[in-house]
Amino acid sequence: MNANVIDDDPTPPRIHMDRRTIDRLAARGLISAAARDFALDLIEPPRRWGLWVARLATTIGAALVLSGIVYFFAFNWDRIPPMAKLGGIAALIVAAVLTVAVVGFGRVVTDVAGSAAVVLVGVFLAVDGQIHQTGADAWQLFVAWAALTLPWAILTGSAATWGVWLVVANIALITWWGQTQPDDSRRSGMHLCLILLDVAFLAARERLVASGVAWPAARWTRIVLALPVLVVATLAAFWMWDRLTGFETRDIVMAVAIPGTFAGFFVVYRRLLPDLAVLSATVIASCVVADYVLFRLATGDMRHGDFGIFLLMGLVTLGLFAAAVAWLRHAARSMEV
Amino acid sequence: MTGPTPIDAAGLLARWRAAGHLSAEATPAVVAEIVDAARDREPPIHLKLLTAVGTFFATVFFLGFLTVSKLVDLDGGAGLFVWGAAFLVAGMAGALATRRAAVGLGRDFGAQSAFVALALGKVLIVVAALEIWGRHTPGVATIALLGVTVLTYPVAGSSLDRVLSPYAVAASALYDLIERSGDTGFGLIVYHLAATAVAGGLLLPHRVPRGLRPIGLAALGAMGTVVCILASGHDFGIWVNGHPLDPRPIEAILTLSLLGLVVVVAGGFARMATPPMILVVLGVVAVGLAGAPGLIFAVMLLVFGHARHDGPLQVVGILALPAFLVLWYYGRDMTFLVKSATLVGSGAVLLAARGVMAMRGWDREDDR
Repeated sequence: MNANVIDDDPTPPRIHMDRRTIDRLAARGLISAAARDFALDLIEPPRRWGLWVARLATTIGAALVLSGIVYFFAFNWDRIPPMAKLGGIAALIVAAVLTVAVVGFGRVVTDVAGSAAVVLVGVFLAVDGQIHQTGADAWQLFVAWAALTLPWAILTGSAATWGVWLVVANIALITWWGQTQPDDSRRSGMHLCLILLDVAFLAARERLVASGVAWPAARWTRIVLALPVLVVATLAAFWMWDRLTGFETRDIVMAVAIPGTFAGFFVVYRRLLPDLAVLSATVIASCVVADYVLFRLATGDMRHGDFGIFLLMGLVTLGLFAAAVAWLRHAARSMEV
Repeated sequence: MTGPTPIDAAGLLARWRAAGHLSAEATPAVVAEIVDAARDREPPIHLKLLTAVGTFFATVFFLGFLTVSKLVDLDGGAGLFVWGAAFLVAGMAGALATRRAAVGLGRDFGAQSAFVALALGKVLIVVAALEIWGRHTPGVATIALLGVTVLTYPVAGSSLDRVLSPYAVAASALYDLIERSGDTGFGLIVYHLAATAVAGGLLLPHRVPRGLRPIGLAALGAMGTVVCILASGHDFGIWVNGHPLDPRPIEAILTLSLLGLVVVVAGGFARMATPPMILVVLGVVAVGLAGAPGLIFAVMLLVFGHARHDGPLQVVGILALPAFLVLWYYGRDMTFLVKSATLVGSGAVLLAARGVMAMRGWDREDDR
């Protein structure tokens, strides 16, 4: 920044104006309240309060009613006959389906009703499990839930409905693996399946958006799919390197898949589909994993390490994260251009 | 959601002059301030998060080094205090030195080191205070945290540090209040009122200096902590103290706060006498009466975030709702049946309001 710019010409160089700068000028009394409001009207998009409040009321209102229904059946009120419970939930499922059918696809109400139908199928199965106790494992409920609602998710073409379905599918996978694969001490197989499932959906999302399909195009859908992949890859690294012996084949595959996942995200979201939020999350996850793996390799079978290792790791951590900050800042600038 | 429209300083100055908002005489001072503001532009949220994670890990490693090497005796208050003071001085000096350094790896390393030194110094001084004045003496940790926060706040280079330190003071004070004194009645109400006043006073008026805004965010965090405690119930987590909590006064304060926020966002009381705003007020009061504090708090964050175009705050607001629902599910101060009625009632109020908006066509307006 050149001070002469101020002295010679009262027009500053190309500085991007934001709310923070305008508020600062107002706070120091350099511009009037009217000038502040004028500037904010220029730089900030319209808030469309009516539309925003309507969407908020629909989404939160439906979420609360749905949560209330879940809480109600968790109470397991024995004064209600079993068939009345199941019949009531079935009626709600029909109402949700009819709402989608009447209102049509591609609207906020459709998203809400479609998601509600998926949740209510789970409530129906859980209540049925309360009534007819068969001793079945929890994973069977979640697998049945995911299987029964998959056609509905495909039919609605709603990102919100798919989001709810994917949560159910992930839980089904976790409970199934946890209850049927006791030999997988590092949970490598489970982590690998979770990453494959979520990456497959992320890839499908990117493919659909690239081919012009509108419903999965909202940016949150990418973040909601990418974050679980990064979280699972990070947790997998912690499980993996907790013990440095007894690696099995699936552990080795997972050990390759973790950096592979991070590398893939770096390439895709830095070069092919630039996205600063996903790239930042990838950098954070990579640094955390690198830090932990370095620490475990340095300490070996000693759990706590000696003071030299702690000092070294402190310095390495400082350098690693400072370099990551510098790189991410550079990447962000080049992505803005 | 559309983002801010890019406009540079020269363009804005021209628009201001054309609209008569800026005189030729006032322009040089405004330009100088814009250039100054650009120099110490706040880093974006993704860099703050990355720095925070790095600081956490580095602080843990350096604390490990200090204790394993026995350079610091965790049971010796005076030694800890000296080490803590040394780290604080180093951190403050580092923060001052890196503030004007050129952007690059060197500055990032310096800023990160200063942040870590400050964190280490604060931790060591608080532990020292607990050792010197006794771990069970009420208020020691809070006073020590307040001291180091007041000392370091003006020079702290990281805005995240400026949020976390005051929040630590507030959380420690809350712990003293509930866990040590067992005051879950009047004391908790005063605490929540104070947090609300600080948050509202520092975040809503645009004339408050930006440097004080992190304290407002910390106060918002303190309000959220009280809401979490209410949702969890009196026998949950580290706050367990066996004293029943009466949520109604806090819920009333939250409802009034949300109404106050609506008035500010609308542009004052004069603009409240319209049918849509009356509906909003009725909806807020109805949801407030339903008794779901987490819902009111989440809506408050969402409204404030939307009004300020503050994306991170809106994300926190979105996440606050499921977090509240999960905490409330496991809280044992109410039966599932009562909770269910509350949730269905609140949801029905919002859906009914949505219906009225659709009938009147208020959901199609394109206002600002």
